[in-house]
Amino acid sequence: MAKADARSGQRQTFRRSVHRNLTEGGGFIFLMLLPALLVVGAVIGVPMLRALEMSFNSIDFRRPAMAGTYGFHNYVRLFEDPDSWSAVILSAIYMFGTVVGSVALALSAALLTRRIVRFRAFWRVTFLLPWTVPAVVAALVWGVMYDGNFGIINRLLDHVPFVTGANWLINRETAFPALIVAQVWNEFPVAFIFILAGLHAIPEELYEAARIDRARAFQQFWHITLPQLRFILAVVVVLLMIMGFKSFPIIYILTGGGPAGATETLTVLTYNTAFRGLDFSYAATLGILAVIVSIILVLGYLRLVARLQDERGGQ
Amino acid sequence: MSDPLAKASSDALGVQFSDVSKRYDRHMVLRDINIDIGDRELIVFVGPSGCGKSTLLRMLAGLEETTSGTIRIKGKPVNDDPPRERDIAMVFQSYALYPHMTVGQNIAFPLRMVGEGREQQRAKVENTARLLGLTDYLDRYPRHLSGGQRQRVAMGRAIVRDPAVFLFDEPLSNLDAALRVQMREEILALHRQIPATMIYVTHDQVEAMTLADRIVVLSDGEVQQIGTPHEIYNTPQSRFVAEFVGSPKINILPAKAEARGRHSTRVTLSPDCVFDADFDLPDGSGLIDVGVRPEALTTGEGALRLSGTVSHGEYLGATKYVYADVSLLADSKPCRLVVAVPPEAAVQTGQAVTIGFDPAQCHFFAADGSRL
Repeated sequence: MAKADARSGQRQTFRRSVHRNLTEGGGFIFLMLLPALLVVGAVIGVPMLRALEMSFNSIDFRRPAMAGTYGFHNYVRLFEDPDSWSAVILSAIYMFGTVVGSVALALSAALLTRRIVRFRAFWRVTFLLPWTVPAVVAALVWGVMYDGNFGIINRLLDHVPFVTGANWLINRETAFPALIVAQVWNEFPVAFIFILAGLHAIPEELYEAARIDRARAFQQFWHITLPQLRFILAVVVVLLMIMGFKSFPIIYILTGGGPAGATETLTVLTYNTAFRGLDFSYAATLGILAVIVSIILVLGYLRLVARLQDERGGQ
Repeated sequence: MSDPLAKASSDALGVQFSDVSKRYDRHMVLRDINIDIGDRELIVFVGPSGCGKSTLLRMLAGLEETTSGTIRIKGKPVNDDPPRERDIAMVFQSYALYPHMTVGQNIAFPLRMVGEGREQQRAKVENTARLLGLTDYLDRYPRHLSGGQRQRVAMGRAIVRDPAVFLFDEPLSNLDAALRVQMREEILALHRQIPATMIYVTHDQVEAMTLADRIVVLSDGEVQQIGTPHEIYNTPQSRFVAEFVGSPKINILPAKAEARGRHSTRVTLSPDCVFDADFDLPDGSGLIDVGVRPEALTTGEGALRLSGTVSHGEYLGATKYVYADVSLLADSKPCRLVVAVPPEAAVQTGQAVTIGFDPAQCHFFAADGSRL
């Protein structure tokens, strides 16, 4: 009798503690996050696990009999394949080029529009417009502009003495830079918004103090603006690196990775391997590599954001 | 009183404002400002908020443009010079320290901007830090410092340059009362050590009185009076100045006045309180304001007397203020007076009281506020 009582008492205590945990403790947080976690798990987690599994398999439509052969062969191939290394290097260059271009353009635009009083909204919207253009549309427009025969770029260059236009997207030397320019045009507004917000957060008095302290315009930029923007810029750089690394539509639509692989970044190589080469397992392996690089970039981003918040809190 | 005005004009001038005006769009902020500031003088611009004192300082600094008139520093017109060419240093209300630089880098910044040698920079920064007691903080960032320390760094950044003119824009208003008194002393000590003109803007009349060699009282964009603290307090040139300086505020009583001859006017405060004072009344007769400071009033005795009722008292330890309502002329409202009495004086609310004063200690102001 006493034993049964004790047991039901225990059961009640247990129930109460579960209830409390689900309504106010860590359990509650988990409960609230559960729907989102389920969705993310279903649409990202499951395919990713399938891809991971596939990367050890041998699903290649040109050699269907190999399917079901598991092993590390794809990873071995990844390390030996000169195409994969060149794709990683191209991705890195693309990332670097778009980051430098976008930050330089965005910083210039933000500095120019910061002190403008007249038509301020107009200028800002103008600089934001490229972002509203879908990458696919931007790619098509740039494709027309880059055209060797009737593209506006060569038409305009006709008027510049001693300069002859090129077949921008077909030429091996010019294709990759041309893609970077199109990408920069499309994505620099992201950096522009961040930097503009950062500029507005710098107290005007710092500039007044600097002027009194005999700093010239460039010295003010170098000693006040840049250091005050350093965390925003770091965040922007990492964000743009992620965007540049993931970038696909502009490259794929304009060159498809050509000419002869000169613009085949990791994402494009992955796509081409899967849907042109029909080697799905190796494509999955390339995809896993891309995911690892992305995760490293995202971790860097999160660390930066955390540091930025620390710094803000400390000031 | 030795005359500091005369001194200022005989010495080399530190700063000179000649007919300086400032306009924002159609709004006139400062009108025909004329101030001569002597070399090595500590002058305080004081006035209520919005009177234009900070704008005047910022115009001198070169942070605001001058609409008309001429500003001279050491005799040289500087209207068109950027701040960097004016040989001035400024301490801001918010300190405006560079948050990403250490204390040492903050202080060295003005030297770095003109490319001074590294060794020289170090020596000057160390000297300045020693002067301000910041030696132990040179490697810290501003965010790790207290308000008073930040204030010192801001002063250090100004001192290190050895400028011709120091500008202080309400530098103590973000500090607590005790620290403010301490920093006031330090600024005075600096003024004794550093041979430069100092211009100090504040809305706090106590700060103005304690710091200044001379005070410039501003109101509504115009100079009301320039003078030593003693002159400002004892011979205010307008009702505004009389009311602005002194705590508690000067008592202002309405009175009837009638000219009796040269330098003689009969003043009627109440039917029982009539006296002759030695000023001219241009209009012959009319209503004037009589100003008398709380410490010039007594309870009980005095050459002249007003009777009233005690409203309440304030005990401050060293002194006591009695607030009393007196009825004056039949057609004016009862007037509340503040009387400074010895702290041990016994006064009860509702008690009838006689307030005595000496006409020699009264200030007389015309209806437009100017001194008679």
